[in-house]
Amino acid sequence: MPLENYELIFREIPEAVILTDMECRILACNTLAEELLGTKGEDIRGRRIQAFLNSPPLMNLLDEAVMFARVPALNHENSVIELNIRGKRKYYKVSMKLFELQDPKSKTLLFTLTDITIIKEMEQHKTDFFAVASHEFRTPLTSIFMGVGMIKSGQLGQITPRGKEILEAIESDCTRLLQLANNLLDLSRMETGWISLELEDVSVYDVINAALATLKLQAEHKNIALYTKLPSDLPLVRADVNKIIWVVTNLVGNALRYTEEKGSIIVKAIRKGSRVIFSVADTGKGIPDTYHEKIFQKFVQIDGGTGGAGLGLAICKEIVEAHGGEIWLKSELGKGSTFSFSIPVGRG
Amino acid sequence: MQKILLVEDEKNIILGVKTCLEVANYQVLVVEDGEKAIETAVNERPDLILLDLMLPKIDGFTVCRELKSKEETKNIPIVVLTAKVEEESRRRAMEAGADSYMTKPFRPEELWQEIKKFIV
Ligand SMILES: Nc1ncnc2c1ncn2[C@@H]1O[C@H](COP(=O)(O)OP(=O)(O)OP(=O)(O)O)[C@@H](O)[C@H]1O
Ligand SMILES: [Mg+2]
Repeated sequence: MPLENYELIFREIPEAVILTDMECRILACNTLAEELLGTKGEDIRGRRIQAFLNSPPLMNLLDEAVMFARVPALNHENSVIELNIRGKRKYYKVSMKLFELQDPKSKTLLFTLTDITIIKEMEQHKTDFFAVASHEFRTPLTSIFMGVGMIKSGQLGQITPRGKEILEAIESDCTRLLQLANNLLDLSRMETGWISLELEDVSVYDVINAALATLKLQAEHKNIALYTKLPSDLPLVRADVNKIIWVVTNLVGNALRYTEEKGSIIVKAIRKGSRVIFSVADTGKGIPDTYHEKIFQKFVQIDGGTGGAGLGLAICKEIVEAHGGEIWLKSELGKGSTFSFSIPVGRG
Repeated sequence: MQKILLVEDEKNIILGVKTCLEVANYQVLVVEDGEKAIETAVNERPDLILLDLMLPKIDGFTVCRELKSKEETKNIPIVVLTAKVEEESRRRAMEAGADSYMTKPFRPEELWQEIKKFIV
């Protein structure tokens, strides 16, 4: 193809493409980029990009790229920027590449901005939907819980043992429904980046004790030994205490659910550098290798799960990552699983 | 017998909550909108008010604020019963003068326990 065609193609690429030198001075940009910068028809070559785009997060990325001559690690969080384009709020995904131009030989930074406003809006609709749905679940559940509770108390008339059993089954299924509604709401909020953490320095011992307090009885019922193994000198961790309790509760809850009677569950925590690693090890049925990555995705279950919806681990992952930590899994089929996650140590 | 004013517009919830309170020997008055809530609170001087937030006519936040600003009703404890789980609406309700905030759904024992914090 003749060379001019490539220039034409560059101009018409349906994404905003901008090329700068290592001082962020614009070398070239295509039609969509000009629209985005609001500079259609002007010659802006040689001017600094900062003059046209008002987005501190994007500038940080560009600065980092030119300063270290290396593309920063882009993730879902830092690569999505918000811009105000002619009064409308728009979202763009940033991609970057550093390379050398041939004539004259010089390092350049190429970056593209992909309009993902529509995806963001859809995410928002989804979150709104779950918020409304979760709210709408609560009203009927109230009258069910109250009604069942009153009948079960026997104060409205005697009930038979079978009748009581049925009422308890209704209560337990309603609790499940409520949890599902809560989980769907939490997860959709977190996915939209709405997770707000109330960070403080918290005691690992308190977190683990609070989580286990609610599960001890369940473990006894199932005849599973549930114990902790904690060194006495653990540092505080920087965390949202309720959310971390939630994570530990869920991992232990899973371990209980997926471990046979007479098994055991150990909850541990150790310090490793600037992090504390929590782990929950069980002697349950284990998780096949092929699932180790995707088990943290929502709705993923092995053999359809046992009564859950496949949301617990996805929420755990969102919470842990929001803390700047990681979550992972080691497991041997038939022998058991160990879920671990890391949380930064506290400041104090 | 102590008197509780229940402000709630959902028929089925009224049935459950009213039963739960009567069994525990409280006298229960029920109104289904915010306007009547204020009127009844002033006239009847209940010992406690259970207040939903999403109500016809005047919303629960406003009812709460009104009642807490009136000499005759400002000392009556208000327990909010609501499906709104957001931290933001809890904050708003407490700012409006609510004494406690319970999210729906709840069980009879939980309701009794909450009420006992305010009246014997
Ligand atoms: N400790 C474990 N041992 C064996 N399998 C597990 C364990 N923890 C999780 N799993 C598997 O991973 C799947 C996903 O777990 P997750 O907690 O996300 O969902 P769930 O427990 O099925 O439902 P929910 O948590 O929403 O109530 C489970 O269905 C189960 O198949
Ligand atoms: Mg689970």
